[in-house]
Order: sequence, then structure tokens, then C-alpha cells
Amino acid sequence: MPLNRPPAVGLDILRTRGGDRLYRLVLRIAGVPTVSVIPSNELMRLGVKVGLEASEVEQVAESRPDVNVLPDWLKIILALLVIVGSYYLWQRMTYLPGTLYGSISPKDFR
Amino acid sequence: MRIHVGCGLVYKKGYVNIDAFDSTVADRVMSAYHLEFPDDSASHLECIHTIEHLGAAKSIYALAEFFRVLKPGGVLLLETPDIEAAFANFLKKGEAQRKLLMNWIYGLDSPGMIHRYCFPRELLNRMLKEAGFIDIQLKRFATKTVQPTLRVKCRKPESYIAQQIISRVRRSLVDNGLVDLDDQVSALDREILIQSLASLTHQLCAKWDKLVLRQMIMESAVQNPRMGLAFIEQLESQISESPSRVKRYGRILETLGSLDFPAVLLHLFMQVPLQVGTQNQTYLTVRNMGIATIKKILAGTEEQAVLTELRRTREGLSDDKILSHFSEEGVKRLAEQSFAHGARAFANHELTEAVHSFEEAFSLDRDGLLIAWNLARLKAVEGKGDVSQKYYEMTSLLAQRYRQPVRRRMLERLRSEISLASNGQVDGLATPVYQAL
Repeated sequence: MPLNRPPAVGLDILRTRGGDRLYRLVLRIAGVPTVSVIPSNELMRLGVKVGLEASEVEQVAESRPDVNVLPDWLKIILALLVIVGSYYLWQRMTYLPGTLYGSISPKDFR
Repeated sequence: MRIHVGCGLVYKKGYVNIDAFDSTVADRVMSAYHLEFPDDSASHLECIHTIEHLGAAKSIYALAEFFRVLKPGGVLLLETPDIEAAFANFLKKGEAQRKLLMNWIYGLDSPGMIHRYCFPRELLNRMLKEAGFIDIQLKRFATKTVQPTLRVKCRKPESYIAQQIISRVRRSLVDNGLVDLDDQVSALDREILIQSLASLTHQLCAKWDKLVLRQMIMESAVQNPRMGLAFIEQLESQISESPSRVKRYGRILETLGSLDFPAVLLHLFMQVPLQVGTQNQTYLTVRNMGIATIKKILAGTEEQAVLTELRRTREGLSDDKILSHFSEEGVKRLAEQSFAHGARAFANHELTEAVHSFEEAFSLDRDGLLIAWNLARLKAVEGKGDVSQKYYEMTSLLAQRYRQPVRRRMLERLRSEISLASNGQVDGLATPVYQAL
């Protein structure tokens, strides 16, 4: 089961359906470089506050695929994943805040 | 027992007639979403033109309560305005009938008579399924009149343990103040976690799996440990599998709740160095850190050391930043409050206060274009051109996320402001920006 997050698209589908490890493995195999969004030394300092060591923080820091350098074949796969993923989400759509009518959420009031 | 929910002025013989507002004929005064009846006690429940008075969040809880109090095989009969037919008729009919249709859609501005939400067929169908009802028969009638109606008949299944647990959890969440049904935005934000835990509850009831239980603990611990504990307590009372494991997990969630773990994570979130445009990544990073912490606690070897560290961090938090539910929406909501404080201070030329509030807002919403923009203006007004320039650059970066032609117009506006600011013409910049265009 994925943890709560917005609906997955692209490579994120791998992450939500297969877990973070598979996601990271696919990124590595596909040779997709990632961009770290937050300085890791600062994160490590913060990790101490919740009982984490530096190596543990490093493992969980979010990075994102550098979409500027994706190979063409991966772009095709990603496009397919988006289509399949969208169909899958559409198929399993049950009542859930954030979808269709039952979806009153704070953003609706902005 | 037969229950007639939201009876109003209609007394039904042979039923316990209840209403939250009108005691003229009601046997008892109570809310549809807080029924004072035991589990599995009613054979029949009627709810005629009532759920539209409840609103989106309360109606979910009302259906859960209907499910809880019905006996296995018990029947629910429900009616509500057919909103599709009402809108269609409104477009076709004359003024007199339109007036009646408006009342049918919006209700009346009297106590308990306002319609707070409406339920198209597919939504009502989904909500009933989610609540656990089966054999849902949905019929439309009087579709050409000024009172078109949806009528639903469904029943509670004979086997229902997961749904019963979920409906009891919902009740306990409301009773213990973990969900405030009078705050729909917050209730629906929590609903995302509830539905996820409900899904795991279904899995656990179908087949006991300690990994699923562990998933439930981790998922709830990082967002709302007290909510997770409510699920664990109900599971513990209904399921006999792995009692010692369930007890231990319950104890961990209780400890994390008492340490305000979501508030600790919020503190971490705000402390993460500000990188413009990284709201989602920052949230996921902090959430992942929370999960890593929970994993260490669950592993057991370093439980006490981790809890000591958490306790120390919690003691350092100020009481005004205690958050009981850590979610992306919840964090953004706090950002909006800080933004509002900042804008008010800016409008009143309390510049120091305004900068403080906007900086706080930015630490909560790293995608906040208007926050960056206001900080840019404030710094320009304060005569800090370099810092102002930095914030204008951030604003421009965030503007790139908008589609054309909005982006172009936004960037034009920004360029003209930057030009004014760099020439020291800051008089026109001394007011808050509320809208990007």
C-alpha cells in the first residue's frame, strides 16, 4: 500500500506500487540522474532531532529525476505508464476526498 | 427497532423518530451522524430528505452510523433531491417553478432546513458502497416535477467485520475530538488518512498480515498517531490475531501521540532550508524521515534512545505550533494563516511583523508565489534592494509554473515592479499583493 500522496504519475507509479526501493532501483538501472532538492548536511542536522543518523537521513531524502536528460526510450515508457496509470486510477475510482464530487478540499476555497 | 432519522414534523408509528432540530413530534433529539443507539440494534432505518442537510463530511459519518446501528441484513431507505433532474428542470421551467426548484436545491434558511450538499447518483452510490452497504437499488422518481427525488434501498451484509470496525472508529474519532465535523476542510483532510487506514483494515480482516499491520502503524504514526490508535483499539477488540504485537503497536502510537509527533514533523518541515518550488519534495522528505524514525522504534533496539530524542525536540517546541495532523494540506493551511497575518501587518505598515509572518508562511509553503512577491515588495520598501531582488527572482521562478498567457502577463507585471524597485520608486509597492494578476 502506498503512503498518502497525490495520485502517482510516470515513474511515481513504480514507487507507489512497488515501493521506494524498486523506484530507486529503476532510476539507477535506467541511468536517470536525480536532483537532490535539499542540502543533505542540513537534513542530517534535522534528522538528529527525530533520532536518525546521517546515513539514515541520506537514504530517505527525496530526490527527483532530472527530466532534462531523460533518454527517448524512457520518455516513451513514461508516456505509456501515464496512460496505463490513468486508466488504472479511473477504473478503481471510488469515493475519496480529492476526486470528483466528494472532493471538497481546502484548495477548493482558494 | 426501526429508526426514522430526521423526522421533522413527520411522525412514523412503530419507529423511533429522531431529529436534531425539531422536537415537535420527535421521540428523541439527536444528530444523524451521532446516533445514540447500540451496534446492530435496528432492523430498518429510514432517512428521508435528511442527508442533504448535513454537508459533505457529516454525511459520510451519518452513513457510517446508519451502518453501525443496523442489524446484519438490516435495511436502509434513503431519499434525497435528484440534483441532476432539478438542475435540468430549472433550465426548462418558468419563473414560478424555478423558484420552487431553487428551494428544492438549496433548502430554506431556517434552523436545520438549509441544504448543505447534494448527492448526484454516482456519488451517493459510491458513498453507500464505501460505508459497506450492499444490494444498492437507486431509483429516480418525480423527475419532471419541481421535487425530483432519488430513492435508495440497500442493506447491511450478514458478514461485515471490517466495515463495522471502520464505522466504530469513525464514531470514536468524533467522540474523542480527533475529527471536528464542524470544520469540513479539516475533516476531509483527515478523511484521506482514514480511507487509507480503512483500506488496510479491509486487508487485515480478509487475511491477517503483520506487514499490513506495520504499514498501518507507519502510515498513521507520521500523520496522526492518535487516529491510528483508534483503529488499533477497534482491531484489538474485534480480532484475536497477534494480541501482543497489536498491544505493542498501540502503545507506540499512544507514546507518539503524547509526544505530538506530527508537531515534531511540522517543526522539521519548517526548519528544512528554504528551496523555492520544493513544497512536495520537502513534505515527502520530512514524511520519509518520520517513517525512518518509526521503523527504528518498531525495530526495538533503539526505541528508548529515539523516544528520548523526540521528547527533547518536543520540549523545545512552542505551544502555538502544535499540529495534531501532519498532512500536505494541513501545512498549506497554516501557511495561509501566516500569509493572512503578514498581509494585514503589511497593509498597516507594520513591516517587521509583516516580514516575520511572510517568512513563516514561506517556510510552510515553498511554492507560495504571492508569499515571495510580498517579501520582495517588503524588502524593497525597507530599502534592502539585494534581498528584494532575490525574492523577485524566486517569484519569477514560481511564475514559470503557470501556463501562457497568464505566465507572460505575470512576468510583465513583475518586470515593471523590479524596474520600479531598482530605481527606488517604492511608493507603489508599499501594499500587499493578494492576486498575481
